[in-house]
Amino acid sequence: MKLNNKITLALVSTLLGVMMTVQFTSINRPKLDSSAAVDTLQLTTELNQETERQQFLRRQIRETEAKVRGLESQKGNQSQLVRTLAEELEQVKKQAGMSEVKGNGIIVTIEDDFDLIAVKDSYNLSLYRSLLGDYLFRVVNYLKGNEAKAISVNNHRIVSFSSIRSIDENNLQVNTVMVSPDKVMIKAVGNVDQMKVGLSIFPQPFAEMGKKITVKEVDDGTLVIPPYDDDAVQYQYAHPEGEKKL
Amino acid sequence: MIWIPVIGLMLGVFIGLSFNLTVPLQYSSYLSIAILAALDTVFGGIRASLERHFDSSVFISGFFFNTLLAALLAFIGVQLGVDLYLAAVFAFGVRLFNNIAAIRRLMVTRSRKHPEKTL
Repeated sequence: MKLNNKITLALVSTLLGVMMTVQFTSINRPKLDSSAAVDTLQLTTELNQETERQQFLRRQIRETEAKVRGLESQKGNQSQLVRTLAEELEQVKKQAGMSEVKGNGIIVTIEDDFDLIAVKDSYNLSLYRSLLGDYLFRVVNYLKGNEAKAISVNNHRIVSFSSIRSIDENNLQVNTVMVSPDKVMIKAVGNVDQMKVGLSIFPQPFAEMGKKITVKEVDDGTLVIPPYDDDAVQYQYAHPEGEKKL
Repeated sequence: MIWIPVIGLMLGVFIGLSFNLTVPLQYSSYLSIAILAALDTVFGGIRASLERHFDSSVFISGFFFNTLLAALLAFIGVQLGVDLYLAAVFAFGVRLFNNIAAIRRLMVTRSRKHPEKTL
């Protein structure tokens, strides 16, 4: 056999050896740990959420820029400027809970159920009933977290500095005003379906207090949430920063 | 002469292990069919050299052509949804056994002619 042929055979055999090794190592490669594997579905969901958020923020930027441009263009037109500022003030009031809100929503009623009270142990019942404020706070917090735009408890508007407090089992305070704990009505305007989801976790703790919870939908846009009670908070101990006071 | 491909294979395995090369799993089926074609060519080459009519041009062209054709066949099969690679497996498998049988017979014949020679 010629040397040339020997070299050819050796080279091709070497190449075959490399191919076989590559195939062997590829097939017997240790599998990735499943926890380390990328969850495509989760990433896609997160990406969609972030995209939506980005679109929302961009929309807000555009709206704000348009407002700024509008205000700048109205510098010379005093009456128009005043009107625009009044609209802006109304919008701010609405967002701060200082104006009435009307729309679709739900009415959550939490009231005494005498059948339940009759079968409960009086000591435990008393203990649980003193926690009413905490659970009302939880319900309100839950509604806020599920796209409620405006909430009231027994017609007391819930805003950023609102309070719900159980003094004892027979005394409940909302926005520092005494309300009857026998029947509490929480109204919330917002996304009805979203707010209703998950309210099923609350019947059990309220049942321990001898109370039943009912949820009523209002989908004809007639649910009215009153504005925040005037002069409930006086800025006696705090002032906004800057020269102007409220 | 039989040691040349064996040493070549060992060298190839050593190189493959040294560089730790891998192919993505979706291409491993093509590589496996290509390996089968290459094996067939190498055994064909060994047989031809034992029969004293080895031609390096035919060998080299056969190696690359068969390997690429087998991989291409497997690829077309995947695209068409037909297990075309089975045709290559069958053809190369039969030829592989034929070549190995021929090599065995040739070596047995040679050992009878030269009993003092060790393989």
